[in-house]
Amino acid sequence: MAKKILVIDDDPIVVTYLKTLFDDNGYETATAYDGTEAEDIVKKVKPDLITLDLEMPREWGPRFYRNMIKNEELKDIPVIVISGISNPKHAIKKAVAVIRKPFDEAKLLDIVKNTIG
Amino acid sequence: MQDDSENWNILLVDDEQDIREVLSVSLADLGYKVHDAQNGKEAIRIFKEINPPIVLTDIKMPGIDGIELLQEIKRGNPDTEVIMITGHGDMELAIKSLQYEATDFITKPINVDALDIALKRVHDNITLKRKLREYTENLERLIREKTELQDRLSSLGLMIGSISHNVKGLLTGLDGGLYLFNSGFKKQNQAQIKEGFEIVKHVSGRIRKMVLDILFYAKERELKREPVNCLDFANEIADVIEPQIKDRNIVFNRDFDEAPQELEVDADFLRSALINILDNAVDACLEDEGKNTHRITFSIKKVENNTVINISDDGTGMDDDTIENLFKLFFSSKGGKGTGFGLFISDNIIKQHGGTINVNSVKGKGSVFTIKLP
Repeated sequence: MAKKILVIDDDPIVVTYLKTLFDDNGYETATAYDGTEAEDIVKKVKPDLITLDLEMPREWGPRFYRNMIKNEELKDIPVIVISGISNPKHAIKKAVAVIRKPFDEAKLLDIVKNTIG
Repeated sequence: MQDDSENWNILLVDDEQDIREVLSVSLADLGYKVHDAQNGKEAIRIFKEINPPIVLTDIKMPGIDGIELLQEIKRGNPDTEVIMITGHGDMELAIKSLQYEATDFITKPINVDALDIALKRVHDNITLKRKLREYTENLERLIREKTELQDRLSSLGLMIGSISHNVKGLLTGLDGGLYLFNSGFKKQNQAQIKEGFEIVKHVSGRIRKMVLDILFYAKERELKREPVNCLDFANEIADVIEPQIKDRNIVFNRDFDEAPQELEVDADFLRSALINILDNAVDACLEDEGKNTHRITFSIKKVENNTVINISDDGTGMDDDTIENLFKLFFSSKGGKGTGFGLFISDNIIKQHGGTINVNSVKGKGSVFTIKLP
């Protein structure tokens, strides 16, 4: 069965971009435009991996993450941070990888493949 | 010395007419324009009228004496050079006058050579003060220029810092559009090719706007006014905004006069100005958790001889503090997302067009921006 990736980013273009990129490479995808929306979707979809933007309206990426790891069922989902801020390294300590925008597609796919196959 | 004393005013004060007459002749010979007064009161009146660079005054006079006159003159213009004339045995008074910043004193009976020396000293003083003032002014100007340059540089630095986040987002968007385009080709998926193309078009529009913002800020550009079709212009702007609110539960209303009209504006800049305001309207709706759906109305109408542009949203609205600082450079209510740049530029561009911009906003209800262009 195809692995599921939840894409969380407030920029619809980035969401479309990542969704298409993952779809093309044989993953299933779900999307959310902010942390609040993502909280519902992550519970429903139970993704195998999450890509997370840090700065979003309403719920910030880091806060979404903190809430998520309180949930036993969700706390081990690997997270890849994809953000435009210049020093995103420490925002989410347990992130599998931190990628800065603009990013390299091949590199991102490599990380995804190494994480969930 | 004589050359530059040509036509200099000198005020001569003495209660003795003989001395006034003799000195007037000597001073006129030296090239001065002499004004004389026989007492302190008259002297003050003339001083106020002609503000002479040099005053020559007797110390002992009935009524206002020389020392009082000296003080009065120094209060009126501290740069005035005052030479005191003293009688024999007035040494104490002479010294007192020096304490009150008289330049020099000469004793009666007046020796013309002594007068000449005293005047030379006065001239040196005046020239020196003048040079000093010039240097000081130059120095002040240099410091001012340096400070302005520093301000400019540091705000440019701030600006670059604040837009770099947006630039990264735009570059990612461009990558995204190109990826969709490319992968659409491979899959022969027409819809995706079209979507990729639309994204590239949209993002390049954004990049173009950002570059114009920077140019506008870096250098005050003259407006290039050209007649533009109002309806086309308005639709073009709406086309930039709409893709951003796709699937975000925001209704976007276009409310434009259908009748053909022309605007005489700098379309590039005015477009930027309006997009900045519309962007804020979109953000205000996205931030607002109070309602499930939102509405943004963008209207352009001719009212009498003005073009009135209204941008209203029912998003978060603003508190008074935000409204007050809205148009200030680097003020942003959007935390890390904002540049503090948009409305500052909008305001400038609209003012450059001779227009006005008004804001009405209620926290929790929404905001209305009204722009009036002549």
